[in-house]
Amino acid sequence: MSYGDDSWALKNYSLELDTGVVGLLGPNGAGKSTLMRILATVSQPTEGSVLWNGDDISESPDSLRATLGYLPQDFGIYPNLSAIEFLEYLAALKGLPKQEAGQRINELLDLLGLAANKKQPLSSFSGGMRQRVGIAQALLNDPKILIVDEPTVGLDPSQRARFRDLISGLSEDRLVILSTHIVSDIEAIATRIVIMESGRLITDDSPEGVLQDVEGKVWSYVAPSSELGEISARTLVSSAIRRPDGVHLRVVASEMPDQSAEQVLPNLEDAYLFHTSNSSVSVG
Amino acid sequence: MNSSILYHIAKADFLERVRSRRFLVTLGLMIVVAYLFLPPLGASYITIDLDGYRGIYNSAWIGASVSLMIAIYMSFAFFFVVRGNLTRDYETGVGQIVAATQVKRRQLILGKWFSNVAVLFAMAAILVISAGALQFIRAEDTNLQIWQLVAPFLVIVLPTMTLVAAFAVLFEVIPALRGGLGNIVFFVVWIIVLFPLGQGGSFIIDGMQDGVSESVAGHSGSSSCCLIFESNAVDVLGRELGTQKTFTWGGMAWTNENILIHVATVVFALGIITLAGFRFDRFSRTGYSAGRITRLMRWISRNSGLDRLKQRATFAETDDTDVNSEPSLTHLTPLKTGSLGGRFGTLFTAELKLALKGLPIWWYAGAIGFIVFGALAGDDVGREWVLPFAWIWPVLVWSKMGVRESENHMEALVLTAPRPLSRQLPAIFLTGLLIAVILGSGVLARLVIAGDMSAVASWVATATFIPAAAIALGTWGQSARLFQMVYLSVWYAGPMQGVGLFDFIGLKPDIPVDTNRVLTVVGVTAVLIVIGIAGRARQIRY
Repeated sequence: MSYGDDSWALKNYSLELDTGVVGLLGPNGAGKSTLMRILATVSQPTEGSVLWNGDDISESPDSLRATLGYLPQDFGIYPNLSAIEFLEYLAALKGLPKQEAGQRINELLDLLGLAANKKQPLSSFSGGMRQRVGIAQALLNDPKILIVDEPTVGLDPSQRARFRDLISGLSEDRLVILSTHIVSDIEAIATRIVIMESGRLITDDSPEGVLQDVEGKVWSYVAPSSELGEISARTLVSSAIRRPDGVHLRVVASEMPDQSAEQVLPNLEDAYLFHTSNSSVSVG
Repeated sequence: MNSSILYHIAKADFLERVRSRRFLVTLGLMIVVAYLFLPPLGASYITIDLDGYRGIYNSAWIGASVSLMIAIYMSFAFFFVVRGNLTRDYETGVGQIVAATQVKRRQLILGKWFSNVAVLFAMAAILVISAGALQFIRAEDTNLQIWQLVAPFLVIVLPTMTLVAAFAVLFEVIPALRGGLGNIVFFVVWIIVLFPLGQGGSFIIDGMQDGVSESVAGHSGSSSCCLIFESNAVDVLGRELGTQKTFTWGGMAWTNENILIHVATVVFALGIITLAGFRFDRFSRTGYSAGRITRLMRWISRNSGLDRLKQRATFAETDDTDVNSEPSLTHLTPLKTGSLGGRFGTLFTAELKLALKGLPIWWYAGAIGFIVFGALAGDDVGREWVLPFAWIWPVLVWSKMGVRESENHMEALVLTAPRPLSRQLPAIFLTGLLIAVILGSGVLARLVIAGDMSAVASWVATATFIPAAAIALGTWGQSARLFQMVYLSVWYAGPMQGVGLFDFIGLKPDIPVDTNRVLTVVGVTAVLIVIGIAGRARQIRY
């Protein structure tokens, strides 16, 4: 996917996906949303193709659309409609029979904690409530492929946990592609991790495989606060918490960064930083 | 007042708009209109007629003619070009960022007005240059006299632009006028204030008539003059115009009175801006404002304690969720296999509900009034008055067709549904058609009873034409304003003023229906449908 002659949002990208939760990680501008838009038939690639069950979705998008649930990163609403009217409208667009649509909408509104507000105009909804309406519309047609772009924006921690449960349940017999820059959102549920940077595929592996890459490279130690700047410049700092005895560091490095450093078990955040760290920061 | 702040407010807003596609498209269209307003030699239509004469295309005639055209007709279009800068700030949230700065409300309003004025002046400047180029294209007189060309723009066009710019700001600070209703209200303002003001440039027409009487021996100069848009050399009153003769016009002899009228226009514009400054809430409201009934319902809900109960019901189940727990599976009831691909009727009903949702009760009352009055009124009144007004009443509903998705940032949700071209677009079209049919049904009943089948055919052609035009302009214009502007203009010029070229309804008392006109409307409708489909296909691809 290119913008103009030289600017590529996605390049040299090849991926084959099956059922399960694919966690798409990458910094801002990595091309996650562009990939999502192409997969959701909103945009078309300038080169290459996307196949769904053997059909090129650029040529026959409806083969995918019939079974697609899509929650874009930024989406609007019709402010004069209530939540239930909005979902009824989208259910009609997706071709759900009226009676079945009604049952489905009620179930989704209950599940997402919107039942009590279902008759209020969407213009009165908070950001988190609108996001839940967005999640509901994506699930209306019982999609075989669910594409959700930054789905937990605006949700509070408990709602995020409930969304995670929902995605886990749904992914048993369908493909869920979940893009986020909040690593913890996918740590527990992703069956596959795809890391992107600058429009390119950096890593495509199981969570265990991604963690394995950084095994033995994550260290924890306490350093004087005054040295934090210098340490950050030469190593990859995964976290730094200031305490009275100094700054508690968690760093990713191939060699022991300090004599007091202890090796710790890596988490997905460490692995993500390891894979996306640019060449100016030494991991060695 | 800090002039640097004013400059930067106006500059940012100016750049935001002149870099938009809408600016370029509008400018391009205006250049085309200016080109057509000065008919090529041998053209089969005329625009300005002084009892069979027109001036040769020298700098004076071209400058004055194009200025008249802008002041009288384009002032309406200019409003649509510049309005919306404050609404955009409300909707994008930029307004809240600005509100958190030290900028005063008067500075903001003045800055927005300056920006509007700058956009319109830029357009006018490009039109002056185009007018100069036209003098060489028409090549009747290639002696370019800059002052003769530019003076009418300075005296007539620029003051009118300051007024249009001021109205655009005023309409933004009054919440009720921010949307489509504001466009309708401005149309009325345009007819009452700006149209006569532009014709107040009638002293230019007086000057032209003086020119005829001075140049042509025996010409009294007292005969009527008109701005017309007619083909086949027959004007709106049915007079045969014949071939126009030409005379050489030396241009306006400007008087203090001419100039003072337009200085007063600028003062009037400043008065409107001052009023807007008082009305401006400095972005204290959010972009969406609920109606009175909704606000009342919310107040009752808040004060009855219902909201608190609802909050508990909504969040009680989430409060127990352990954020750090391992995910537990949540399942949804599966849909029946093959249950997708539902009825078209369900989608059509959903589109109709969406189109009519949120319309005030008085809109429905008016619609019923048109139906009843159309059925009960005399045939002449029905054709000449009831039907044109019945088919302007839903202009705000039609103007959303093909553009509702983009205006509400819903493209990604709506256009990824299956078969958006073959399923949703026809549903939208039929919604618009049904609204036209219902609103015009009273008059239709009388036509059918009278057995005037050619009139019925004309009625059907127009009812189909309107939604086709709305979708074509909506899908390509990406703004409801384009249809509102074009449709209101054509409606005013055609069905109301009787300019035959624009009379898309074509039902006049005691005049037989012109079959060729009906066929033309049908042909144009077919073209518009194709354009609409292409526009929607383009929306789906990007």
